[in-house]
Amino acid sequence: MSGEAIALSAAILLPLLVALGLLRPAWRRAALRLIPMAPLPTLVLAVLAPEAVVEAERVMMGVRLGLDEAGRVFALFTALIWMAASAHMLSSGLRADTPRERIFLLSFLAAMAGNLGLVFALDQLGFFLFFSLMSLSAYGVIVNNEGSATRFAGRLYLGLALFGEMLVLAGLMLAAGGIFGAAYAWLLYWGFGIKHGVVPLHVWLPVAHGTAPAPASALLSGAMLKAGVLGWLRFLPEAGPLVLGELSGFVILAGLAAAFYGAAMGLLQRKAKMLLGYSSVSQMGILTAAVGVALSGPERWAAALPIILLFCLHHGLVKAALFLGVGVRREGSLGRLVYPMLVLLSLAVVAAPFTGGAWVKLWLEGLEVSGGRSALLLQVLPVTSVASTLLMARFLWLAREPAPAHGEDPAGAHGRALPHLLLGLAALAGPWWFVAVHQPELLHEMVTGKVLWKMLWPVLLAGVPAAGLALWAWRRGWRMPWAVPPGDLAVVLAGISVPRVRGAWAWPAMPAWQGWGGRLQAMEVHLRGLGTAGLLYLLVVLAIGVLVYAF
Amino acid sequence: MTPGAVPPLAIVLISLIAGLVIFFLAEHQVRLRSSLNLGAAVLKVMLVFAVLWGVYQGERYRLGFELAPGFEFVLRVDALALLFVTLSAVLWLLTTIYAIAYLEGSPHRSRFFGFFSICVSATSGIALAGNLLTLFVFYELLTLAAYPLVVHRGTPEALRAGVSYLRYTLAGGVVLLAAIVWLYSLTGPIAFVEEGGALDHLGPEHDGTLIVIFALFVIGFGVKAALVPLHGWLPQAMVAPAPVSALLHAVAVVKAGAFGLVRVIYDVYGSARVHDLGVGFPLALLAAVTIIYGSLQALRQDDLKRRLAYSTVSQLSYIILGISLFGPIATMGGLVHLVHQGIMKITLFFCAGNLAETYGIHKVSEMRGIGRRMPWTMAAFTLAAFGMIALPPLAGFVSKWYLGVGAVLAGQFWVVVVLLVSSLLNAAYFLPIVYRAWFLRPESPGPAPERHSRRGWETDAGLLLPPLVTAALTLLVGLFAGTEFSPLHWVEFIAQQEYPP
Repeated sequence: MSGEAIALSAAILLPLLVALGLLRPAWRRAALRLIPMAPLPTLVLAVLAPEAVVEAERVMMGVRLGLDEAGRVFALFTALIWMAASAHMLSSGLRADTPRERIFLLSFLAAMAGNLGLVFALDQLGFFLFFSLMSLSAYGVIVNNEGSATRFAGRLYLGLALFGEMLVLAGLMLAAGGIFGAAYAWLLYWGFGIKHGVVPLHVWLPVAHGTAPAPASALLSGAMLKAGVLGWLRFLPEAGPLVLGELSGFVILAGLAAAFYGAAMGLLQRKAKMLLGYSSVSQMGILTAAVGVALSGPERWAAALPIILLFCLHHGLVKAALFLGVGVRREGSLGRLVYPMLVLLSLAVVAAPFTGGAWVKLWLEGLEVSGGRSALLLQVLPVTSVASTLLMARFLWLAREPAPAHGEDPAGAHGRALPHLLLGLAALAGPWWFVAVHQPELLHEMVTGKVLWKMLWPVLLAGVPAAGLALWAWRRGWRMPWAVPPGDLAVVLAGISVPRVRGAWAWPAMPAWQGWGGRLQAMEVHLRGLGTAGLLYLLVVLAIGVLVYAF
Repeated sequence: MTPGAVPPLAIVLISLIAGLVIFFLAEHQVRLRSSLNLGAAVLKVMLVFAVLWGVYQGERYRLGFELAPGFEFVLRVDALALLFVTLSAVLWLLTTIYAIAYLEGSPHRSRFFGFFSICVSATSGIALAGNLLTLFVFYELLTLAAYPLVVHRGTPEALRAGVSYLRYTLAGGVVLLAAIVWLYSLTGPIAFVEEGGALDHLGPEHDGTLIVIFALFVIGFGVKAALVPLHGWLPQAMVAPAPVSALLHAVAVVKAGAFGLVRVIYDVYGSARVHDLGVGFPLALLAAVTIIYGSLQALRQDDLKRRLAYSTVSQLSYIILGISLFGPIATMGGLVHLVHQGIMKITLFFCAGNLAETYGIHKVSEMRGIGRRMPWTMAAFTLAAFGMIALPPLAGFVSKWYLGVGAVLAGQFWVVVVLLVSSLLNAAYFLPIVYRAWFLRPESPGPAPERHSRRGWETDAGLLLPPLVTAALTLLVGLFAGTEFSPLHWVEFIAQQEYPP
């Protein structure tokens, strides 16, 4: 076994080893303290590792591990987010003393192993292995109490996650059978897309983000959501430029639709975390549109790939820091910095000048595109900034007080400010580093007045009236008179009118198999009679047949 | 008798003799009976591994003599036989350990273990049979020897289940016999031929007859393999004690049906002939219907063992599906599931037995928070259930992967849809159990344990060890499917014989 193989396996297996440590009462304390350190090897690998590919032929049907260009960026921000979320979780007073907490922690660590593993998995089967480990374990991180809202969120999440996995698996089976046609591309588009909320399969996303404890939401939207994008980046190109070119137009339109739909639904939310979930839908919509541009041709792909990576880095870190910030105590000298940090991060989301969002949009606009849907994206980009600004203004309004803590949930209590602030700083600085390394001319461009104004006007256009509205609402004590239940379409499709109980949504139990049971029962009884009767009948016919044949 | 004849005979006789001796032991001779049981099981495992080694080194084992004119009794070792006999020997050893602990202090244990051993002997016979008639003899022996196990408890419900079991399986046996006789009347006595089947000398003018005979084989073996609509006996038979259900569902009875079909398709007809006759597609369709139907029925069962039984109906047809598709990859998927389904399902039944024995829990709705009281049992259960859903890297995923890719290669895309829908249905009936066990608070005060372990474990060590071993196997055979010692590697070898490159 080579050095690279050992390092890679250690990076992936460390969270699982820590999980094993949690099972033994004697090692529990030490293991708990190790959790924030578990992603450290991945971080080190992201910075230092040479380009090495390790073939593990004996694992399953053969797995290939290593770091490609995308993997290196993903490893970086994924590890950072997991470390910050773990630190936040521990600082909120989480211990591994009750069974509920242990289930939470074991799921947490298994999801971590899956998320770190998929970053290194270069082949389809290996990626699928870690992808499903992460998806399934995330259930235990989302469902942290027995309340009806949580159960609804969990079922919606798991149902769609499994559905997406099956689509991906179907695509991989086609590929293994040598078929890389349009079916393969569509299956992967939807299968991986569910993870980051391609409309209309985004419905799980806001609900799950809103109900999970803050560090879990940070992980979901910062790190795990991006896994679907990595799946696209690594495996969609195998479908070939012809197929992808046909897909491209649809993907751009779907992405833009998601960008605006998410923003609209998000505006009509009452809880900061639900709103952030919708903001993720919206942002990932823009990202999806960018991927659509990349799909339109091989040279476009090469040009757009670094932009997509920057987007993932920027949005992953920013969104994770925002979610952590919602669940932070705002006392003490550091606590006072939390709200200003939330403002800065919101500005980054809406692509205000000198933030990651702005670098992304500036770089995108520099792409040489001629006509078609790709050009449409570039025209619409400033408008998405307007929508985002409205959305984040409402977020800042809702987040002016910290969200109520759920002390009885594991990781539900408020954490300390430090992990949030550090992650926030990383989120603000990370894109600068990336741009400085990959596209330094953007740095010069930004300071010229023309570009500055191009980035600034959408923010001002929406920001100024929003600030005025906020001031007025604050004076009058005005509240938004109505809201949309998180999970918009799903709640409607569940066929249940959602009654509002004193401002809170009463969550429907999903209609399971009611009405089916009786019919199935009748069928089974019928078959039992039929089976026996049929057999006896056959016997007689046979006996005659054999007799006739023999004589 | 040649030296090569001894191993196959010994493999069959060890458990038979052990069983016959056990009948004459008095009820209270626990220690002697247990050592006899375990001794025979261990001896058999060792023998099977010795044979495996021998075959690996190029040895060939065969025993044959003429019982009656035209009826040669043949036991022989080929790759397929070894697959099945290894599975049954290993799982028999584990089930024996489990059964000894499970039945501690209950009546009629000599009767139970006697028939139990004969069942295993019959299963080995089915595996090693070298022609259809020999296979049939052991097949019927198994039918009869399993009956006392199904009705072991002697309750009215058990007796009813026993009657239903006999009605189905005996009728199936008659159809099977008819099929064999009819085929022999066409061909004369034929042995199994590993490469390409035994029907090469029959011209196309017999195709019509061959199709009818094939249908009879499907019905005859389909009863035990629980193909819809012939599956009615299986869910009823789950009233049997847990070790019996475990054996029934994982190795012995239902597998005998599936294994019989494997022999008919590959070693009698030959996959090319099956393909030419066009009977593969209807069989695949039947298997697909069974897969979906079994899962739908499992969804609505509250009784844990009944849910598992319907799950068996569904999962067994993966094997049938794999062998009915033309091509080496699908064949590998089907054959490897013969082993994988056995390992996973036996784990689930062991765990169900542990819950019933330790806390008197029989229903899914009673399982709130049971993961806190029986973490090891439920961990094993969870792993096996995940395997059934086909989550990577567990055993079930490897099977499903090969089935799916095989279906794509065979151009049967609808099979992929069936497989994935089945996965979702599996998730729909297994995940709520996992959720209840781990995520919900137990009712307080929960039921008091009915059995205790002497060392403070959650239940008797003999009940706990076997499911832990099989759960570990579920992980290992999937995770290390690429190694030389995996079932996958072995079935690859079998598939290469059937479809020479």
